[in-house]
This record gives sequence, C-alpha cells and structure tokens, in this order.
Amino acid sequence: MEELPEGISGDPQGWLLGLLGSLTVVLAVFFTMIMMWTLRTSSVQWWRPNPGQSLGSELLKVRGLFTQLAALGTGLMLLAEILGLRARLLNPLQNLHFGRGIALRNIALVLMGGALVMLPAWNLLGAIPLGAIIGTELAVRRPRPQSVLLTDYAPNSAVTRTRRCLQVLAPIVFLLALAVARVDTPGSQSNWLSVVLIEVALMAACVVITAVLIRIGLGRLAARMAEELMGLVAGLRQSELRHRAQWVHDHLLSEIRLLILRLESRPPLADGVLEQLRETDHRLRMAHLDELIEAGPIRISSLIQPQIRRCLDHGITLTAVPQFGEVDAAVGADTGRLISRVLSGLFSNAMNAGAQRIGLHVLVDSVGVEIRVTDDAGGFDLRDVPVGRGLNHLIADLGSHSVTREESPGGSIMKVAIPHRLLVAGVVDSSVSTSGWGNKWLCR
Amino acid sequence: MVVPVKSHILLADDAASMIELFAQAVTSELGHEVTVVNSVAQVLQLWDAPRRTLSVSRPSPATASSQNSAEVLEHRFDLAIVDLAFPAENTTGLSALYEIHERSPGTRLGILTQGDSWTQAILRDAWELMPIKLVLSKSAGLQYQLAQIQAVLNHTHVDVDPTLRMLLPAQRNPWRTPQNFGRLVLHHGHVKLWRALLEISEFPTYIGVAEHAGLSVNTVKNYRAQLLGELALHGMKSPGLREMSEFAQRCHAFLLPFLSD
Repeated sequence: MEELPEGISGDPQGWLLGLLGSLTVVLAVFFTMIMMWTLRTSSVQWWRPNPGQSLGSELLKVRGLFTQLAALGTGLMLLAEILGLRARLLNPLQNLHFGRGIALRNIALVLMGGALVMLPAWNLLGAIPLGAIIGTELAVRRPRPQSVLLTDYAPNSAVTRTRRCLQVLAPIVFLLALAVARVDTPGSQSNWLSVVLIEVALMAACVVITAVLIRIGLGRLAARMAEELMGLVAGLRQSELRHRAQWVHDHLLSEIRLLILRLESRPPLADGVLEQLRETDHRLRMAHLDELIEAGPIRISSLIQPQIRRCLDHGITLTAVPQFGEVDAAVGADTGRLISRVLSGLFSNAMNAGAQRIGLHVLVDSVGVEIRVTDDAGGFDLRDVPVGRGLNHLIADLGSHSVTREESPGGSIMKVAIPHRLLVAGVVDSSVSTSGWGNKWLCR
Repeated sequence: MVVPVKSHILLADDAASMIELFAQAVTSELGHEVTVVNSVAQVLQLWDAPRRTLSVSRPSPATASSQNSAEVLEHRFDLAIVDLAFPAENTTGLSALYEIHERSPGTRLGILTQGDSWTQAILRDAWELMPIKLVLSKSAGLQYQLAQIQAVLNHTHVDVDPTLRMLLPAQRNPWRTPQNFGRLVLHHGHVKLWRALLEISEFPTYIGVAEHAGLSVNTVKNYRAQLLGELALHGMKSPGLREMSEFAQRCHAFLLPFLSD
C-alpha cells in the first residue's frame, strides 16, 4: 500500500508537470523581457519614442525599466498561481486563495496598463496583459468538454498530449513574434500590417500560455486534492477496522484471558474446561487477526504470533522461531490471509499428529515467502493426506511443487513456498520503520 | 531453608479486573507485595502526591505519614511491570516506564503486553530506550509469568517471551538513548516542527504542519531532511511526516525535555 500522500510531495507526474509549467513560465517571462528589450532598442521608427516629446532620455530609461519590472511581476505572479503556491489543499477556501492570486494579477495588470497609458509609444505591449487576462479568464471558467485548453486533467490522454504540444509551441509563437519585430526595418514605419501581426501574435501567445499553464496548475491541484482525499478515506477505513480489532482485543480477548487466569489461579479445574477455553481464545485470536488483516498492511510477525501462543498453551516446546527483522515485512490482505492459512495448516497438522517440539523458519526474499515447520511427530506421506484436510487444499491451491515434505529425525520438515507471482505485485521489502505503517508491502 | 525475600511490585495496566487477579496470583503464589494502578496518571501520582505534601510547612499527622512514605518511595518498587497500551489516556506505557525510571532508577522495569500490531513499535522503543529486564506476553500461562517475575527479582537473566521475541532485536541499538533525543532538536525550528507533529495527531501534511508551526512548506521539508540521518538511528528509513508524528507521539516523554524554550 502506498503511504498516505503528504502535502505536495511524492507525486512524480505532478512534479514533472510542475517543472514543465515552471520552465514554460520562466521562458515566457524571459521572452517577454527580450521582446521588450528588443522593442525598446529596435531601429523600427514607430517603436522609438521621440525624446523631444518625452521627459528626456534618462527618464525614458526609467520608464522602460518600470515596464520591464511590471512585466516581471506579472510573470512571477502567474508563476505563483500556476505552481499552486497560494492554494491550500483540503481547504474549502482554496478557491478563494486562488482567486486572490488572480485579483493580485489583475492589480498588476492594471498598473502595467497604467504605465503603458503613460507611455503611449509602448502601447503595442498592451497585447501582453490583454492576452494574459483573456487566457486566465478562459482557464478559470467552467471547462467545456469540446475545448482543448479547458478539459480537465487526464494523464496520457490526447488532450494532455495536445496541451503539452501547446506548451512547447507557446514560446515558439513568442519567438515568431520576436522575429517579425526584428525583420521590421526603419523604412517600414507605415507598415500597419506588421503592427497588427505583431499585436495578434503577442496576444495569441499570451492567451495560449496563460490558459494552458493555469489549467495545468488547476489540474495539479485537483489531482493532488483527489489523491489526498483518497488517502484520507483509506486511512479512515483502516483506522476504523483497527479500532474494531482493538475492541475485540480489549473486550473479548481480555474477558477470555480473565477467565483463563481465574481458572489457572484457582484449581482444581473441571476436566477439559481450560483446554476448551484456550481453544476458544485461539479461535478468537484468529478472528481478531482476520480483522487486522482487513485493516491494512500487517506484519508477518503478527500472523505468526497466535500459532506460537497456541503451541506454548499446549505445552509444546518451540525449537525455533523467527528472529527480529526476519518477519518484519508487511503484507496486504490477500497475502496475509494466505500466509495465515499456511501457518494454521502446518501448525495444526503438526499438533494433531502429536508433536511435542515444533520449529518455525520463515524466509522472505525477492523470490517470495518460504515457510518451514519442523516437528517430531513422525513421518507421513503427503499423497496420503485425506481429501478435505487443510494441507490438501493448500496443495491444490499452491501446487504440489510448492508444498513439500522432507524427512527429519523423528519427524518432518514441511515446506511451503509461496512464489512471488502469487503475491500479486509489488516488491518484497523487509525494511520497515518503527511505526509499522510506513512499510512497503508485498502485495495487495 | 531459603526464605524468599519479600519484594514490592508495581503493576500498571488499564484492564482492571485482569490485573487485580494477576496481582492476587503474584501475592498468593510468590508472596510479594503488589501495588496496582490502572492508568499512567496514577503511576505519576505514586510519586507526585507525597511530594506535594512535603511542601506543607506544618504537616498534620496525616501528611506526616505521607512524608514517611515519600522517603520510602525513593526505592519503593523492586519491579515495575507496565502494560504498553493506555488508549483512554492517549498515552502509552512507554511514558510510564520513562517516568518510573526517572523517579526511581533502582526499580527494575518490565513490560506486560499482548504484542499486538499497535503496540509493536512502542515495545521496540521501550526495549531500546529503557533498561527493560522483563518482557511478558499477556497470553502466556500464569505459571510461566510468575516464574519469569521471580527470576527477575532474583536478578536472573530471563528470555523474552517466545511470542514477542521476533519483535525485538537481540542487540539493543547503542545509539538509541534518551540523551540522544537531543540530536533530533538542533535548533528552534526543529522545536516548532516537533511541536506541530505532536499537536497534529492524525494525518499530518506538509501544508498542515507548516501552517501549524508558522513555517513555510519548504522549511518543513528542509527540517525533515536535516533530521533524516538521526531518525535512521531510530529505525526509520526516510520517514514521512506521518511516521515522524507517530514517532513523536510514542516517544514524547523523551522528546519533551528538549522542546522547552
């Protein structure tokens, strides 16, 4: 099971998209600034302000700088919006935060517009804020299914691929606009077509870039929120199941334990009562274990514990138990049930055969899980196991090559290998944390 | 004939009926004096209540007797056996063990637990951080439990219960000491981070922790990254905030001394 998502970490695809978005915005700001610089220093006559009508060349430089700073501020705010830095996940007011970003953007655009009004010779640059406004408004409106730009985030879909192409194309449009500006010569002052082309190209580029990037930002936010919500729901479900298991433990098992303690401390006992009670205790523990298995990843050690306790309760000597670290791997529900079933089958088989000494070895590696139970209960032939017995079912389910028996002095070594392919998917990883819930698990 | 020395044992478990019965068995079978408490708060009161009476300048006869008992309390218990789960108090037996050891270092410490999944991490922390002499499974037979208790009181080494053995490392990690928790709090920013993790008990996110601690998300990430090496010594490999929060909740008794301003 994946660990619950934490904030904005652990989302490689989102991270990649975010990186692409950031790079595109940086490129957009970069190209915008180059565009402005080019226009300011261009030899195109109608771009060049007439120093005679202005406050002088020094003041002109200041104005140009102011315009560039305004553009940079606009770009940075767009960047903040796109990266979702203003948004707060799982906060119902997040849209307000996003809206606040847009409001700040609008203020910046108004300021920029004001600057352009003060500098009439630069009014062509009004295409940039105009394009940004149109792009943003398009992006935050309710998505229309037929719209390429405004379709919701869907990884690997044709829409996403198209959108990524647009991301790449947007800076190219800027470059084209730049090229158009550069080819314009001093002698073309009256070339109104060039002016219109540049204006349209600039505005279109701004619309595309703004809309695409804001949609990416919104898509990232939505995906992240959905992921966190799914994690929360899964966490709550596991928490509920765990509480139920804890209730079984705290109430039912404690009551049974109390009864056993009373009977043990006040002999003589009625014949068989204590044994019967211990068996009931074991069955309850197995039911308790079922609850735990359903409640999420469970360590193999937890699956082993009831069997060891049962052996000790029956006065059986344990010749070997797994050591710390050998059975720390956490497994999912299906694998947990399978391992529990194997353990129950092998231990019951040995105990029913009258074993007085039982040893357990568990090996967890990349091949799968191997469980070996040694006993001193004499030998038997696996082929003679009656139909309907647990061992028989195990052989039928896992295959005869997975359930094998070897002779040992005075008894048997039963070996069950659960191959990795039966562990459904995932990586065997016995590394665990002390918390127990951040483990990688073997399978679902 | 060897006359067994009468010892004083503290039993702390929230399962009142069971622990009372267990105490009776210890008293009747082993002949030791047993004090039973059902909460971590009661454990602390065993030491704190008499101390408060000591501050009374003119003790009444009643407080005078408390004063005498307070003097005795310094080494009152030969063995303290503590359950690990105290869900009603939102704390763990690890805190009780820490407090007992702080107040009475001479008391030998033992654990009585079922070893369920939700106590396994606490069990390992207690085993590595405290000088635990006895680890008993609640599901073990009474005679086995009594024999283990007597062995510890006789200063004999006892093995961990077989059902719990696989949960505990054979060798304790020498780096895990209460003093080394100071390495998890290198500056005031870490104090903010741990406090936030302690106060946000469920599903901490970077954004939630950042808001709670008054830090930026990137700062929280940086602080976490700074602590990864030290957290690895506590058995956590690249833990997320949730694991760190669970760790902080479990080991709050060890962290708190380093979180004061």
